[in-house]
Amino acid sequence: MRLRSSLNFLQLTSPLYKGLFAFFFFFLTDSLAGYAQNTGTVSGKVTDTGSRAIEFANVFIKGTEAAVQTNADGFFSLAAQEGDYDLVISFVGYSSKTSRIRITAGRTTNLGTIALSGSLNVDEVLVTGKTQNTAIKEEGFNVTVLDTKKLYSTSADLNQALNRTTGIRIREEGGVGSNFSFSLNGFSGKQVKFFLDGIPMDNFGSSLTLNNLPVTMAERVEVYKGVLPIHLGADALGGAVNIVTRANPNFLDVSYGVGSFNTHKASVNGAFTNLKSGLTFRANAFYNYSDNNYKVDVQPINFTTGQREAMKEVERFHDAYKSGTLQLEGGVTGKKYADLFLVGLIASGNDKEIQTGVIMDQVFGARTTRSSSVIPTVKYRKANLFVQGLDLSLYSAYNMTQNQFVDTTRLQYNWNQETRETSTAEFNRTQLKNRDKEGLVTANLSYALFPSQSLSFNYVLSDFGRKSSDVEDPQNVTFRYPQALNKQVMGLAWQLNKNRFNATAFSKLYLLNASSFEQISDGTGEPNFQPSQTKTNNIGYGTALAGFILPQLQVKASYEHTYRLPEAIELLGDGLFVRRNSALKPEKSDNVNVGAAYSFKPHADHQFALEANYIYRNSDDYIRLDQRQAQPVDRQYINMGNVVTNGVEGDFRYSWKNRLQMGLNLTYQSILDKEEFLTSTNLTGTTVYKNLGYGYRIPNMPYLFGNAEVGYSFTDLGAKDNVLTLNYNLNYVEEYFFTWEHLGRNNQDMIPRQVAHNVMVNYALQNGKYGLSLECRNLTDNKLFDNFKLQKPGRSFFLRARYFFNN
Amino acid sequence: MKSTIKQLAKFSFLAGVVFTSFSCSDNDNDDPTPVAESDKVFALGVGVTTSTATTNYVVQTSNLMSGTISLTGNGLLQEGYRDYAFGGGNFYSIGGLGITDVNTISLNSSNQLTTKTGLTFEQANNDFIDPTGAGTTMVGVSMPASPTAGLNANFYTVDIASNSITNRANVPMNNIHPSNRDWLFHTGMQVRSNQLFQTFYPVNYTTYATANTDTCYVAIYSYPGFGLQKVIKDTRTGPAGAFNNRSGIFKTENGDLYTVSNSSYSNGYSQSTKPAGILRIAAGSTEFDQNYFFNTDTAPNGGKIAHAIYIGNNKLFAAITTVAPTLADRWSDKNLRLAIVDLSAKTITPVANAPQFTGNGGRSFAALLDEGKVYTAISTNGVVNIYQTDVATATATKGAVIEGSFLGGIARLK
Repeated sequence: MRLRSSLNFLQLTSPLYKGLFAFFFFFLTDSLAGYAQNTGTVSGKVTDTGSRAIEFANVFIKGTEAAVQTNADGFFSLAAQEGDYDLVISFVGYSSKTSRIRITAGRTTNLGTIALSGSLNVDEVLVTGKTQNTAIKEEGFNVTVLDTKKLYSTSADLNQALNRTTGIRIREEGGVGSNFSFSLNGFSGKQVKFFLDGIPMDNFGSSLTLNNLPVTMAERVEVYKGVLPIHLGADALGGAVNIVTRANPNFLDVSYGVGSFNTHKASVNGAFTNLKSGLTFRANAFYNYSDNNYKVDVQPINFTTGQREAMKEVERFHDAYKSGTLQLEGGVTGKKYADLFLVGLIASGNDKEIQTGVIMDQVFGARTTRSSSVIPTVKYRKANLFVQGLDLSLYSAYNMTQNQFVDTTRLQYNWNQETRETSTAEFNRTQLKNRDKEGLVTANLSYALFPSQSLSFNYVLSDFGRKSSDVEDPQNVTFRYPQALNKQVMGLAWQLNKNRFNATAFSKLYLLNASSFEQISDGTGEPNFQPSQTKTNNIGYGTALAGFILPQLQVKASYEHTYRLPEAIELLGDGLFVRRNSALKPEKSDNVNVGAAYSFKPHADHQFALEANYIYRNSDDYIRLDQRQAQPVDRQYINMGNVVTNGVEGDFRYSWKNRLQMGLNLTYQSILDKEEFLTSTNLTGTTVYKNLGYGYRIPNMPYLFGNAEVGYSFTDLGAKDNVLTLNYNLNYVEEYFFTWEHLGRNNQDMIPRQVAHNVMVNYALQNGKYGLSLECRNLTDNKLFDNFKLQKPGRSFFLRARYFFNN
Repeated sequence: MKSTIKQLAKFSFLAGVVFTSFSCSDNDNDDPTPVAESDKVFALGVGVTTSTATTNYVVQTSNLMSGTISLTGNGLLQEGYRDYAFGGGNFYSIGGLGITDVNTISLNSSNQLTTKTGLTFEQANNDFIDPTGAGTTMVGVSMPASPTAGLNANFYTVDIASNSITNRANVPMNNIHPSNRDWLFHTGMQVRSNQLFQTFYPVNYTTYATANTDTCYVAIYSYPGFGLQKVIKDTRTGPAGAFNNRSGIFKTENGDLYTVSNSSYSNGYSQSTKPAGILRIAAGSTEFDQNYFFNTDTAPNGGKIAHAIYIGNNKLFAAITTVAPTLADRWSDKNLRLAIVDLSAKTITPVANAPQFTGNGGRSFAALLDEGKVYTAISTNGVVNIYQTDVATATATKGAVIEGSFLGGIARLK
């Protein structure tokens, strides 16, 4: 029903879309000229000697421009003019293979399966060579690919893993399961979008966030900075994170760990594929628990005098967290009608005690929150659908999430764990329930027009609705008027691969349809409401270029004009406290990335890699709640703010004989407020006033941070194929201010400099089949703060055992 | 091989330098401007709205009438949202993040602002007054904003010298105004000998609709025990005060109490069923004076009194509407001008040379009476200026520019 209405909407905006196609037509006509008719196609599948498909293997026909990479199932397809050629297949860590082939006009020659013999154990050892992830990096996008395989032996969650990469800073409020904010080049909140295998997961509930997901769940994590390929269809202003789950056909990975603060983490990942019948089952299960009873320095408030007592160290006493997730998938792979067809279910939940408010002065002893999600999924993928070169992938999910917040205890706590009675609740009596339902569809269609060119189309639909209720506050009218938001993003991209040079140009269409309610003043003592609705459309565009100037020197550049669409509440208000703003525009940004990557090997044993990126962001029309209003109602989301970011990121890696690994990265970003005058329009009219922040660094945003790491592996220690690895990692964030640094004398509202030293020793037996690791985080027990006056855990230890089986 | 190691050594050295070079110390602190012995010292609570948030600062000045009162490298940052009060030489900054914190700000020996911290309140504070002006005891009230936040009004006294709570009492909200439809919001309080008088207005706490605008209410408590004695009502006008405002009740030198009602759309009322006006509770009495009613709607230069302070001699310094608010003006707090209201003569005198302005919604009608002059701030075209009003002549003079978005509080500390 709702889908139909969005289709009608699409028709309404079709003139826009025609323009979009015209834009691409321009690209195509140019290339058509050199295209001859007498071509044929060659196809095949690349595997390793164990019959496992190799993704991203490079396949090219010598003497032509035809080159391609294999897909996730190892398949490739190439077209060239009729004739005899050498077909070259290569993949890092494997020997390359050359085959003599004949291409016949109008025909597809299937070469069957081509096996490459491997030389490296890509799964386990720290790898500095070119891996699958490098293939993604070779596109023109500014993308950081986190090879999670390197971290499988650690207990890290995805947040901790991502926090070690350039441009990203994850700010945690406390220990395991604590709230966090993800900031990417100065963008945060809804400006950065998250995907699980290409499915938007922004509304998946708090048990399916990056701080719950173990690294062992992911094959890799792709972080796209500022410019997004169309296959991640989203209104992301500042980039996106895509978690790609493991796709090995047959494996089992089991781990269990225990650590400080009564922390337990268990995970089971596995897949079973019958290569003959194509029957496939995949399972992911994990469980996290922690008491988070680490020590913090506080001034308890004396209940008798209302005075703060002297600073002392206390243990957190109401901060336990547990979360569990089960993801099951079953279906077939490698069939005529489907390369992959999987039906799955994600069931997930968490339970969290709330220890503090926005700062540690506000302490709770009974408030809790919980979340549960049930998400059925369907994944379908087929290469060469109906015609050669036409690939389709279709992922869909239906997300049912319930979040609950409970505060019903008539007691107030202080840090001494003393209590006093209250009349209703600890802070505000509530049993708020938010029930979210969200339909999600992601479709990608790509067509290889010519050997070196392809065209792809992406469609993402998200249809979100929320119903809230609170038995403690049944009168609250906002619960009676639900909100809904229907978002569609369509992208069209043209891609060119030629002689180690690739280019893509794309355009995206953003459609939004929001519905809500608004209050009407009628001069009586009773409120009245009427439904309200709004539709918007916007067009974004961009390009990404990459090429090798020298065999080891790659340069890349990308640009996107992108949007972050408003939420229903921002656009239409909540019918009560927040008034609709029909003139509200989406947040927009022009993002530019320029980067270079250079690797060299002065000696067989020494390998160096350097990468540097410059980023520029010019973001406008930030959506913010108008702060000037002193009234409880008549608040309004307005477009306010122009922020210009200039940033540099550097990454250096060195390895010696695959034994010593060193890495260093540093991010500096100048994020300046460039809004000279602030305009506030409300019932009192329009006011324009000077912005005292103009020209200064945006507060409460990390601007200088870096990581350093050193690792050494003792191979064949104790026995053959046993490896002992020592790792040291340093995490550094320069101090930054919570409020404007230049206002006030000696501004003390700052988040102090953080330096955390982490060490780990890992002993892997029998090529990684068994593993035992011991980690120590924050070795020197430094006081760490990511947020204003919210102390993070001190020194902690974690011991973990792992069993890994890969067939 | 050797050279590679050398290179590597160089690089790690460089990396070390990069990391350590950020460890330089902060560039503390240019000494603030000295204050001469003869100078007055005013403390101002200034709010700054930038593109990211609103922050609050307390800044001192000896000159309200010229130049710019700047916050750049100046002023004490106040965490979170703030309200201000004055008593016993202290400028109280109340608010904070999460808990209700009190910064007790006074002058040190070199006449610079200094902050005493440590005092906190159980719930968000609605009003904090020095009832007698003696500078010994402050009286505060916290009224929960909804029944989910609490069921009791919480009154307390703070001993100024020791900066600590000396007495507190809970009064069930439902005893003050029994209703299953309305909640009540505080709009002002005064202490007269051994009684505390509080004005409030009944309102739906989620929709802010006001179904009950036919009556003016005053709750009377014992003082300092805060026992509820009775609630008196009068139907000649609507409820006194308005949302978030503390302009509901004033006390004169002889002990007369005046309640000021506006039931104005501009200040959040969803209906307006009675004329705006002023009632009196005569000295010694605990009932409305049936012989006194000042209809401010129909008075010459009249309108609805949105905000006011008492300036002595039975006079209010007020912000009053220039045109009758309509339904479309709901919550706007606009079309205001400064005026002097004579409570006994029942006259309203507009202040000359002051522009028409828009209020800040009630809470922060920051105005200070000092030596026959009233200092307040008006924002015109996005610039906030001090306006000095000479009470005798009802004439304003434009003063210093405040580099900020609004003035939240003002007091004279010396």
